Amino acid sequence: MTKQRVVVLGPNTDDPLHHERAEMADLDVEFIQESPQSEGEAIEAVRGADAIMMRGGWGTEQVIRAADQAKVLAVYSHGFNHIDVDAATDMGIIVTNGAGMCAEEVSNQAVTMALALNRQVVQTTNQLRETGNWDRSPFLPIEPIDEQTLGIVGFGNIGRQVARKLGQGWRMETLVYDPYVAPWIIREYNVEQVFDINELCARSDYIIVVVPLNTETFHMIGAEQFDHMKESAYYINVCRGSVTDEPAMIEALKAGKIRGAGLDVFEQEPVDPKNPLLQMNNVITAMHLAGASTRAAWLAPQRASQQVAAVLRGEWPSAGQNPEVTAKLEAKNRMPGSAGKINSADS
Amino acid sequence: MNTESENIRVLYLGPSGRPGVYTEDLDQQSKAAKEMGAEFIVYDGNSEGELIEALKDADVAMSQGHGISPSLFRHMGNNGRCKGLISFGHGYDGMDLDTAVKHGVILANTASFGTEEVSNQTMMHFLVCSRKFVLHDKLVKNGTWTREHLAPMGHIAGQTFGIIGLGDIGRAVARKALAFGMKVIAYDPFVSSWDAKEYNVEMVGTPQEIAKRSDYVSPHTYLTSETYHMVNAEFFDMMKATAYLINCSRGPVVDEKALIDALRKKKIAGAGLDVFEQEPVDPSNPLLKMDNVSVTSHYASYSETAWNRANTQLGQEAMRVALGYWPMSLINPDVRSTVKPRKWAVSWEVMLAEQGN
Repeated sequence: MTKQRVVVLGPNTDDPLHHERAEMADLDVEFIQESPQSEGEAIEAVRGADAIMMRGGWGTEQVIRAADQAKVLAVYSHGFNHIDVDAATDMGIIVTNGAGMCAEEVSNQAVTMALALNRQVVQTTNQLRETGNWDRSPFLPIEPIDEQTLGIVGFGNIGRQVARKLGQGWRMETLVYDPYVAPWIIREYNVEQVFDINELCARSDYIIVVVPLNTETFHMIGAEQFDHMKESAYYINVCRGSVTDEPAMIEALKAGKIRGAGLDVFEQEPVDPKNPLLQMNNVITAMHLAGASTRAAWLAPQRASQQVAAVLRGEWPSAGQNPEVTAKLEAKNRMPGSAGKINSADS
Repeated sequence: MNTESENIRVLYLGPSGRPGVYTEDLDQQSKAAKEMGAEFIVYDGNSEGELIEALKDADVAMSQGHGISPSLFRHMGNNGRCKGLISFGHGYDGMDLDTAVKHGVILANTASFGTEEVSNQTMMHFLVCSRKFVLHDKLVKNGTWTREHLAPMGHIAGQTFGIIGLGDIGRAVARKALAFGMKVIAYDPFVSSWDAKEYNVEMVGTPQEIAKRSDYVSPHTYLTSETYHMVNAEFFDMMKATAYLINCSRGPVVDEKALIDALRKKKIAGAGLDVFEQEPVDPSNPLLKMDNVSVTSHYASYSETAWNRANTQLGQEAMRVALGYWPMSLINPDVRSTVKPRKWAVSWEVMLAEQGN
């Protein structure tokens, strides 16, 4: 039997691939590192691959359709909005992400921003540093956060941690908008589910969005949602920039429709230095690093490698994102807990 | 009212064709169908032939204690009008998943309806065992006021609670045990590491490690060929002599003969049991005579809230399947490989809005 080809696409071709090799040590695989500079090069790179591990934006339909042997496409990141999942499903390729890889970090970033906005830490630091002015009045009123309402949009791994940390930790009334979450998860976390995004916006003092970016979530927070928010509300985005309609947010901030924003992500990244959001004193920002930590740095390759290893062993990977693909798999890569044994003799 | 749902027919199967268990009026079970303007039909036949005919005229079926023969699946799913079957309750030990997958029959249960209740029953048995309540209740009622049987008695805080199966119930038990200041360890090969972390549970690699380290062991698994007699003589041999076994899952997860033997030989300190290998339990079962064993009659999941919730969920899941959505609690996910694509399951309130109600 020939070795299975694991093609690793990334910015360089001399990565020692420690985690990749360790997780697949029991498999007969060979690693091929490629650093495509064009879609054409990416297409050439994935041809004949049994597995694709991807850093960077090469998950286009053309590239995926060229991967006619691939069983799995693993991204190292949490988001997979840059992957044409439908094409992958059509090709019978399981798409995996780094689910849970940095939920701790991203939720911490969201909590940090909520607290920083509430306590106006960035603004007070700037005033003292720049002018030495001891005047507190620009920062008042400061509301007691334990009497305020938290609104979480998207109740996946990250949203649940935000609920646990900020909702339970600071004893905030917590609202959740997520049409796909099971009712028992809502009960387990002791939160209130609302079924209208505008209701969440109208009732919350902090609106935190933690959803994947897809056609359904693109610009889901736009002018209409900002119109529903309280003038005292803070809007926090730690997921993907284009979940927010950024021009609408800029308008809302300029018009005083909300009190401020905490933004880890932008519609265009790196953010244009002339973006008006960077000039606003009531907006605190970071350069899309919510997921970062020394642990996330090694969890990403470890997790991605575990996903690929599972698929090459004939198992359904724990972070498979397109379960519809099983229709193309003919009893391979069956899901745990389902009928029969995985890859059993009779399958 | 949506015209699509007006033509939907939901078939209700009570025990052996009779109307519902415990709730004769079927208000909860039929609520979702009525909200959507679908037809709710109570099956009243008595033979497999009649049932096959009834399934041919239904879009989905729900069962509350009605036996389901795998041969029925041949007339459902990809071979008939009835796309799926929703079963009341949690366990699906009687269900032939392979046959259902083969014929494209979508199966769902009423997941998590009794998570609070079962985890509370577990904590109750755990406390009753730990505090030696059964013995002392009996002694006091018989006029004996003594403290001579107290030792050994654990401190609970700082002791180790071992969970086998960290699903909804296992997690609720973990949350409650943590509130008692206990160390919680769990064995579950299917759980994600980040979930374990989220619940502050230490995952262990083998059931044996649970046996060796725990002061209280509690399985919360389904009954399958893999979990049948998972807690057996070998397992009891590894347990501490001061440890207790709690079982609120399914009787045959524990080898009952081995449990009786372990209790007689004082290999473990006692047990708390809601379930038995044979139910109703034989009145001569030696477990019923032991002062270090607390017993209840398989009602761990019960409260009016929980059962109403299960009945409502039963109806909602049926409408999801009938209207081309996945159910919230799909129990045979491999069926995705044998049926056409469907819409993601959404909250009931969202479905009502989507269907124009």
